[in-house]
Amino acid sequence: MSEIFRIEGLRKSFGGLEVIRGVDLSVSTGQRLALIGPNGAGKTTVFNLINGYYRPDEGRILLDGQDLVPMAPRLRIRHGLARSFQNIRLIPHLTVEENVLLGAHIHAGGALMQALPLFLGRGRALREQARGLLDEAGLAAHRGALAGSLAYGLRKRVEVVRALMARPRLLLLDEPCAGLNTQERGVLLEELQRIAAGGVTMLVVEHDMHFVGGLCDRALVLNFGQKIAEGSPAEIARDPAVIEAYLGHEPERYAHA
Amino acid sequence: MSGYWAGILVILAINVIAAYSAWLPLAAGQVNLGTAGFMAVGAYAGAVLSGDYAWPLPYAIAAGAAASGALALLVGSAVLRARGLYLALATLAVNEVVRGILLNWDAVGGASGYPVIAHLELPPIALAALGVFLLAAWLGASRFGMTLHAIEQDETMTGLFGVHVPRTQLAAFAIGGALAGLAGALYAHHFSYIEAQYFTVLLSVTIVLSVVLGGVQTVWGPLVGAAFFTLLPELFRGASNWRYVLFAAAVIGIMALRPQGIVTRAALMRLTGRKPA
Ligand SMILES: Nc1ncnc2c1ncn2[C@@H]1O[C@H](COP(=O)(O)OP(=O)(O)O)[C@@H](O)[C@H]1O
Ligand SMILES: [Mg+2]
Repeated sequence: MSEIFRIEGLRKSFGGLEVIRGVDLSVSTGQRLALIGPNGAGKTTVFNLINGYYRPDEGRILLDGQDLVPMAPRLRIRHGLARSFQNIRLIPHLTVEENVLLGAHIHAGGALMQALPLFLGRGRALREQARGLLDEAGLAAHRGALAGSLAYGLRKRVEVVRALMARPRLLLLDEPCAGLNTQERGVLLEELQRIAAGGVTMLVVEHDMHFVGGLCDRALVLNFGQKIAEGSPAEIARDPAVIEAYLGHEPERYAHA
Repeated sequence: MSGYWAGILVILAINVIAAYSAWLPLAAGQVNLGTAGFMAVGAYAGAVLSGDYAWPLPYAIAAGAAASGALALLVGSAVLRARGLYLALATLAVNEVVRGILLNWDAVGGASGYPVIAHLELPPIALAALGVFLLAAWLGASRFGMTLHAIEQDETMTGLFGVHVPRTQLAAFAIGGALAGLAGALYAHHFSYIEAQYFTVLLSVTIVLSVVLGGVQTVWGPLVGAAFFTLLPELFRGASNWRYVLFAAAVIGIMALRPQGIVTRAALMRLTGRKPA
C-alpha cells in the first residue's frame, strides 16, 4: 500500500511549554490510523497543526507528497484534507442538507457559480450527491430539518457526511464518539466502517478502545506530546507503557491491586 | 392614493432598500454603522450627475450606487480586518468622515445642502425596492448567501471548508454599499434637496436596528423590519408626543420576545408548513 500522509519531526510549543515534541506518523492509502492518548497528550493540537489552525515550530506535514505547512488553511481542503470537529460545528439555522452542502464548497465553482441559487448549475449535481450520502447514512428523513433542532448523536453524524462531501483523500475525525451513548456509538461505528470500506483514509482521535478496535487497523499512542507506542489496536491495549500512561502507574501494581 | 400614503410608501421603499444594504454584511456577522454615509455618497453623486452634468436619471442613480459600492469596496478592504465592536466603530467613523467632507465641501453646497432638480415619484422607487428585494432573495438562496450565514456562525470552520472568508465578507459589504448608494440616490431625487446632516450615524444605527429586529436569518427579515420601523410610528401618530415612547417600548418588547428577530428560519418553516425538525 502506498503512503498518502506523513508527519515528520512535528514540534509545537505554547509559551515555554513544548506540547508536541517530535511526532512522526505515516498513514497508507485506505488505512485508518487511530491517534490515542490521555487527556492533554496533544492529540487535538496535532489535528490543529494538520489543519493549519496553528503553525508548527518544526516539522513537515505531507499529504500526497506535498507539504501542507506553508499552505493557507483554507487551501488544505482543496488538497484533500477534511475533518469533523470534537465539539459539533454545524450552522444551527441552516438545514441539514445546506450544512452538508457547505462541505462541498470546493466543488461548487467560482464566484459566478456561487451567486446562483444553491440548486442550479453545479449545485444540482452537488444536491444529488448530498442526498445520496445522507440516504446512505440513514439521515434522509432529517434532510430538511434545521441542524440546530437535531439530537446530538444525529448532528455528530451530519458532521461526518459534511466532511465527506469534500471527497477528501484524508478524513480527520476528532473524538467522533464523545458525548454519544452506547447505541449511538454502534450506529456511528457501522456508518464509519461502511465509509472505510469505500476506501476513505482516516486519522481518528478517539478514547473508546472498542470503537478504535472496530474501525482502525493501527493505533499510535501519544503521551506528553511524544509517541510512546504504535501497533494494532489489540497490541496497544496490552502495551504496559500505554496502560501506565492511561492509569498513571505500573500495570503490575494495577494487576495486584 | 392620497399624498400622505404615497409619501409613506416612498419612505418605506427607501428604507427597505437601505435595510437590505445593511442585511448583506449583517448576515455575515458584520455590523456596518456606516450605511448612512454610503447613502450620502449615492445621494450626492447621483444628484450632481443628474443636475450639474445633466445625466439621464437612471444613469445618474446607477452611477450613485456604483460610486458608493466602489467606496465600500475600498473602505471594506481596509476595515474588514477589524472584528465585532471594532468593525462597528470603524464603519461609524467612515460615516462621520463622509458626512464631514460633504459638510465642508462647497462645490456640493457645504452645510447649506444641495438642491436636486430632477424628480422621482413613487412608482419607479417602488419598482427599485421590488428589484432589490428580488436580488436579495436570489442572493439569499445562493451558495454565497449560505456562506454568509456560515461565516456569521463560525468563521474558522467555514474557512476550513475552503471558503475565502475575507473575500466573501468584502463582497457582501460592497454589494451592501452599492444598495445603500441606490437608496440615497432615490432619496435625493424624491425629496429634491439633500444635506449632509441627514445622513447621520443615528440613521445608520436605525437601519441596522430595523434589520436586527426583523431578523437576519432569512430574506424576509429586513422587509419586515423596515416595514415595522416605517409604519409603526405612523400608527402611533394619534398618541402625538408619546408615539416614540410607544415605539421604543414595542421595539424592546419584540427584542425580548424574539431575540433572533421577528422572522427566523424556524418560524418561516412552521409558517410554510414544513417542520423545522
Ligand atoms: N492554544 C494553546 N495555548 C496553550 N496551551 C495549549 C494550547 N492548546 C493546547 N494547549 C496545551 O497543550 C496540551 C495538549 O492539549 P490537546 O492537544 O488539547 O490535548 P488532547 O487533545 O490530547 O487532550 C495541553 O497541555 C493543553 O493545555
Ligand atoms: Mg482533544
